[in-house]
Amino acid sequence: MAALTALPFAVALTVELVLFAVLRDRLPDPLATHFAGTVPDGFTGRTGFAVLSAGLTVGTGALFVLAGTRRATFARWSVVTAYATVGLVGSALVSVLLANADANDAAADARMPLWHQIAALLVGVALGLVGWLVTRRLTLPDSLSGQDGPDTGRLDLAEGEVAGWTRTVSSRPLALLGLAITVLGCALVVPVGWPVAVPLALLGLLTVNFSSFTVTVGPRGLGVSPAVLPRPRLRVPLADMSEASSRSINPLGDFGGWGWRIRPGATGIILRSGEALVVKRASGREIAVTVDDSATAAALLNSLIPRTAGTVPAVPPTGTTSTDASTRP
Amino acid sequence: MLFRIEPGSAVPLGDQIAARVRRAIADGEVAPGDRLPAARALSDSLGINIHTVLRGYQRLRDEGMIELRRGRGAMVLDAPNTQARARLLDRVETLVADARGLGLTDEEVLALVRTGMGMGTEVSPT
Repeated sequence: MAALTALPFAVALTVELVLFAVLRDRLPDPLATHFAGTVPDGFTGRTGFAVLSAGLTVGTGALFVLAGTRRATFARWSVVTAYATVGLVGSALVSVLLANADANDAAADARMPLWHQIAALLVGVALGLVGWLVTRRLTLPDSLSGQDGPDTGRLDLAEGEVAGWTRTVSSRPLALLGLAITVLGCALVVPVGWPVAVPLALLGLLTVNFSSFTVTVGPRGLGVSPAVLPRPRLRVPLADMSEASSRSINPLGDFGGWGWRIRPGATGIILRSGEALVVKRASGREIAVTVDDSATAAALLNSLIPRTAGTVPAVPPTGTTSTDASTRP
Repeated sequence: MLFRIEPGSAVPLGDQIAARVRRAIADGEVAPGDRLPAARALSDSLGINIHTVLRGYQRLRDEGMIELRRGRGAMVLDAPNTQARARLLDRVETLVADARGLGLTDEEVLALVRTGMGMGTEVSPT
């Protein structure tokens, strides 16, 4: 993790020093190093700036490496912040050198174009994203948290009794995010054009569809499908299950985020943190769905799984001759 | 929400589902204004026909327990006495089941209720 954090700082340091060496003869002394808008209002000696920028890069890098933590959740955010910081600071330092290049007098000639400032922000965001992606797999633990969750027990099902459980889980933030992306996509049709607007709007609608899921548990096993459209759906038949449990899931720590997550050894439909129904397939792969009342669902599955394995049929044949009219559900 | 049904019972499955929801309202497990499971999801979880579930939901609507709105699904009627009415209907169900268990005819049960309400005995069990 430390090497991963240090890498972008090393790259930034190299770029800064090489650029300084290349531009050295074309730079004024002192350099314009602070700008009000696009016009310089602060100056630093040429060699002093090289030492300062190198020191700044190495210093922040060292800070992030030393502050690095082994806790999955924070480790990832620390890497993302480090990457975003190095992107912003590094491109700002490069911009300063470029703005001063070929200026005879820093105060009169050096200008910091607006697009350089916007570019520095964008590079920061882009590198933050890179940090996010490179830590995707690294920070995830080998297995889901709460491995030894409390035993949910089993439901006391009578022979021939059929039980089913269903519940909907929704994420308002995810729905709003999807709506915002859709609206943005629609708004971009005229100024930017179809090639950008249509995929963006579709992405938004997809996000809305993934913001609410209906979870069903019963004789057909586990079913998870979006509450809006019937697809995509996840189906795990009872015969393919070894056990079910109710556990507390940490979205960032266990799955690296929210939504429909696929990671080594587990699939997650993760709309919030907290209790989740976790089903273990025969292959050992785990399916986690964050849903309320998951203990009931797990208990029901644990009482249905043995039925498929052996003697008791999961669903009794229709027309069984029971005359017990007073029995109530 | 957990539903348990007995396909072998003489009570139709739709009525069993209605009874389960009524009990849930009576116990406060679902509150007035709460949404009930979508009929499709419920039928899927139990492995039964969606029309069976809808029959149960329609019965609850006829009893004034829930409202069915196109696109919004089934919602427990948001009225102050919904829970009390659910308890009453639940007791009626118990009464009917107990009376049938004792072998009373429908007329005899009605006569008992009328007597209990002080409405005379125009229908005599004898």
